[in-house]
Amino acid sequence: MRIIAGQSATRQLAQLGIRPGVTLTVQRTAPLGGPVLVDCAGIMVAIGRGMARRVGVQIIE
Amino acid sequence: MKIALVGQPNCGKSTIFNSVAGYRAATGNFPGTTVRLAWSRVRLNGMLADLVDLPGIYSLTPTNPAETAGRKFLLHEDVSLIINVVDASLLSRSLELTLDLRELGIPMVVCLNMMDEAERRGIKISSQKLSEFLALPVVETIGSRGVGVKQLFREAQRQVHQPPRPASLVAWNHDIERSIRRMQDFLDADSSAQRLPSRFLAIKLLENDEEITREAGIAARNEASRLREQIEQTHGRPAESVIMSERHDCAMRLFNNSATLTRPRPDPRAALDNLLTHRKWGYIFLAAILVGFFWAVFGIGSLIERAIAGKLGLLTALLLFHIPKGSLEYSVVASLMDGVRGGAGIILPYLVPFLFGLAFLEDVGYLPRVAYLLDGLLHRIGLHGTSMLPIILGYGCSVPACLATRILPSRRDRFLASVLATLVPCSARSTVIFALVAYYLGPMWALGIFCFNALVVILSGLLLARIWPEISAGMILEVPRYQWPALRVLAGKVWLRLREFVVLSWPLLIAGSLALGLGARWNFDHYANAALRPLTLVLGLPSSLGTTLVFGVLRKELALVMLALALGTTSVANVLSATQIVVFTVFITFYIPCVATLVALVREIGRKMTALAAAYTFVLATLMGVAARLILPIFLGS
Repeated sequence: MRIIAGQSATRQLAQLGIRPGVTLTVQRTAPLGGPVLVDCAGIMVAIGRGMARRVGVQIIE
Repeated sequence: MKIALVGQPNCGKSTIFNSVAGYRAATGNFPGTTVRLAWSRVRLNGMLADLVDLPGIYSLTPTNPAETAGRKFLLHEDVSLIINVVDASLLSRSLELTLDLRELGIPMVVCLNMMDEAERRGIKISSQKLSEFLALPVVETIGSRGVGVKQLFREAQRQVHQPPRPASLVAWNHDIERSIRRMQDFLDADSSAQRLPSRFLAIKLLENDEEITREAGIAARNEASRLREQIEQTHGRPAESVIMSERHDCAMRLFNNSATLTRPRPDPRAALDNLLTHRKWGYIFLAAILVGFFWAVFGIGSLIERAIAGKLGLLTALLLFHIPKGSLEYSVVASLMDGVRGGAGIILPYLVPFLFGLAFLEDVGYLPRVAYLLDGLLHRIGLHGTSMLPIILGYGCSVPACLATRILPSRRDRFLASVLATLVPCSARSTVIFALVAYYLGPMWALGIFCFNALVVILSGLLLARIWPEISAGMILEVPRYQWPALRVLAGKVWLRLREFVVLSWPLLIAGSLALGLGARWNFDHYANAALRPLTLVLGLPSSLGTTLVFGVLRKELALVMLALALGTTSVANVLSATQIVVFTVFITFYIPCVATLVALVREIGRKMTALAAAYTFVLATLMGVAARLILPIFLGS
């Protein structure tokens, strides 16, 4: 996983446990271009679509 | 002596605070509720201390103004002891903050809270091992049931004069440790006196912390950037990221050494979330919850109102029985009683169930879900989901809503959210809507006003976003698990907001009613009404309502009681037409925020912006009032 975002957003994500190398599970997405709800080690985080686009992931099944 | 409660958002700090402070802090189950620092003087086994409940922070490197406020307090306020509240079910993440806090060199106790939740998740923690590894005392608690809180404060008292000892397991990677040491030596060699531990400063400088870097001398800054480059070269990524993952690894190591994982028990709350955040059902439930909330508040409120109003009327009649009509005493007693009746008979019946319902939705953790559901929609008006939190809080009271905008990182988002939050009807204005429109015209009309208001808020958002365009950074919001709020905590929260009404608005209301009563006796009100005549004329309201609008700026609910007084009757429907009732309510709902909100706005967005916001709401209110006046007769046929 790679994150290409500003320092503040990267920090914010990292504080919630979302940082390079971790496994995320997408729980659901909201309609109307709404956020993505991801589960990261038991913590649920809602990430806006624009921000989520900056989180590069490798898909594992 | 100051004791600070520090922890990540939703770790249950405020619940622990409430259980010793006697209901004096506000709590909420979403990130950043306690943006105003709640504090209380407590007696710990005969020792007097100021217990401060800090806003939830994820780490000591702040990412929004609420976190900055929290850190500033820890760094500059001479804190004697830190109680680090940790959500045991999120132990490894929470320990990262604990490790950061250790570096401050302040005596510290770790409070391992929500032990029941951890157990449910299959996490078995040995607090003894954790305590050994961290070299800090660890006390297990279940804050919602008050388990272990006494032991926690007993331990706190014992630790006051014991700064943290070094611990072997909390060591950094070899080359990072060397860089930290070098930076530390550099800072120590600098002659200018440091109030903060040099090790903490060294770490934060290597992490490229904005504030600390700004305050450091040029030489230290250069040294830090040299060391940062070195780390970046060795590790192939920014020093900041390296240090963050170091801390993370360290926390993981602590976690693995002190906790064992077993199979978690199935959680029925996951099924609940399948419904409440569903692509389609989520919105249907959201609408159902809001309408249900509305009906419940109105139903309970009008029930209480009917029960109380008759008794108070009887009491007034009894008091006035022996006083000759037309005398000064008669006017004084009658208008004083009007004020008392207005508070107890009209406002309290709606205010209490409203505040209770809102506190419940807040503490149960539903609001972040609302933010999640509405983020897509909000993006169309240039905001994002997190901005929804202060706006929803605005339904309770605009003042905490303005303060809650501090959880937003961008200045522009804070401006937009605080202006929109003041447009939303707060509990005082909702009371006006309930007691006037719902009571006289029927609850569907009141619901209509709420919907109309929501529409105007959305349109205002569109307008303001166009005036101040900026690409919103996007939402990053933790969605906490649902929690059943303890009744004790809810009651504390309702009381906190109610107290303001009882000690501030109600006396003001009684005084205002006296002023109006005596003014009417000597015809003073005519001058005020004459001055406001242009406004009442435009809105098509009786000119005697001019003064009530002025009272509304002081406190919104005053306008309601003053309305009954100015008209000389409590059965408003006999004097005002349905259209006039709606116009009055719409105007009250939108026009200039009350004094307390104006003060909060000045603090959050500055004087100029506040003046602009007030002017905007005034123009908006007048326009909406006139529109209602012109359009409604078509439907009402009057």
